[in-house]
Amino acid sequence: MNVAMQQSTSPPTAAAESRYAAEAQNVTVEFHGHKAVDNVSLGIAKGEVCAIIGPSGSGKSTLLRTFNHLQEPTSGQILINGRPTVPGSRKPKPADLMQLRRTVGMCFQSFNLFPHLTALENIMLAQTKALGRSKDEARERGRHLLERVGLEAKANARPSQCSGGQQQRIAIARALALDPEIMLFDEPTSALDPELGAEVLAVMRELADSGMTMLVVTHEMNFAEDVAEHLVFMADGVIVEQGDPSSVLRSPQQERTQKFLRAVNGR
Amino acid sequence: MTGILASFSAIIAGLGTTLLLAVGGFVLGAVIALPLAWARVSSFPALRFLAGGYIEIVRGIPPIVWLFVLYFGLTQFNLQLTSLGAAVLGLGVISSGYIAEIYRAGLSSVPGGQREAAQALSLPLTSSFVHVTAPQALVAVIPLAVAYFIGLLKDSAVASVIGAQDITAMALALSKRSLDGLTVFAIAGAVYLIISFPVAMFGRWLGQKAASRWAVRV
Ligand SMILES: Nc1ncnc2c1ncn2[C@@H]1O[C@H](COP(=O)(O)OP(=O)(O)O)[C@@H](O)[C@H]1O
Ligand SMILES: [Mg+2]
Repeated sequence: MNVAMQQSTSPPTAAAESRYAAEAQNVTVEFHGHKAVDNVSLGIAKGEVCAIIGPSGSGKSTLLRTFNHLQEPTSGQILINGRPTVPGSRKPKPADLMQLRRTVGMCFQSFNLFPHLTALENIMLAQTKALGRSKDEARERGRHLLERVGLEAKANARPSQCSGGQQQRIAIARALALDPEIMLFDEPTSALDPELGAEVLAVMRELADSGMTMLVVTHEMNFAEDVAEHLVFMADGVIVEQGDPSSVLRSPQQERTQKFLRAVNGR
Repeated sequence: MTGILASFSAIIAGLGTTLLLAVGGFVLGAVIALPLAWARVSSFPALRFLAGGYIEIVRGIPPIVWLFVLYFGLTQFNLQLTSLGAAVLGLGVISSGYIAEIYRAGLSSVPGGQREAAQALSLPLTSSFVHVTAPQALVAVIPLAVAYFIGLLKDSAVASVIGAQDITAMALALSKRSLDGLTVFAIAGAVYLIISFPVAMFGRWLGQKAASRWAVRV
């Protein structure tokens, strides 16, 4: 993919030499005094796929969402290519956030496609309104991306006329249309039957092979083991254990991890 | 029979005024309601409070009192509105409160994930509203707004008490000249019904068109 070529927005600086494409430093998120994420630090190397697993309510989504500031950290900071998303300690400005979200794309568990627009229009909208591309350019890029996720035939279909798996693939194409450097996925297959989930995982696998930096919250242990280079197990707002996916999944060191994996594997 | 026809044509002379009252009041209200609804869902508590207060006051006072205030009350400030002017202004103020709540219902019918997706795609706020939120909200707004308009069409009859020459005023004048009040007001009622009906049909058509154009279901 020609991601790097089209990314004209971030000039190379000393910070660009950071070995992490995205990094959370001591991130804490509090909801009404309860710490959903508690002082978590996590770095994702360029081109790396990092999977986050853990029980429901452990803070996986909340942590993921701090990376594109859909969730504002209570304390700590996010760095993209070594540079803090929010310089100083001030509140982020809309322009900062827009810039950040062009670099960090996201896919949701419930797809969140725009139901009133066709698949192609879904993919074109942010290209024209956020990047200022012409309609022709956006359409061409949109068709190319639909082809890439195997859905060129659905260009003029509404989301309601697509299966869940197709909708999620359209959502991936929509996010890729902004040429992000990093992609966030929040349980992208949890709302899908295994068969439809497999279509989505295949697209994500291809994306990973193309060198995309990815942070993926998932319950798909096979995907985590095969595709991810780094696996993080979260519980109660903290990282309990992390490392090489096969080692963590096959010989977890922490009791909390063992208990979770036993429950997942039904043993 | 000629009596009925004569009565009918005398009453229908008020049709233009009735339509002017309803359409004028509705359009004025729909415009005032835009900033009002925006303030109502604003993240500034003071704005929310002010808009909420305005809406409660506007809806809590009987329409006839509003018209008296605007028509008779403003003369104290050397401001004499025409019957029609006071009535359109009054109906506009009243409907702004109701229509603002209709807008708000429309906005809250759009799932939060839609705005979130727009944010994640770095859409500017105005694009997010114009291209994502508003079209989906409109599907919920149209049937409510049409129902409110039909209500306003009938309630505009109140303007006759400050002298607007609408259908009701015509019927009232006629009933004083003839002895057959029942026939006269039955005709007036029929005229209101006859104009409400196509509006309701149009509203249903528009609502269905919007819903299918913007197939809102995920
Ligand atoms: N917007 C919010 N407001 C209040 N509490 C929240 C919010 N989002 C998440 N939480 C709470 O934070 C905790 C972690 O949630 P989440 O990050 O969604 O967990 P996970 O994705 O691992 O299931 C949960 O206890 C959840 O109830
Ligand atoms: Mg979650």
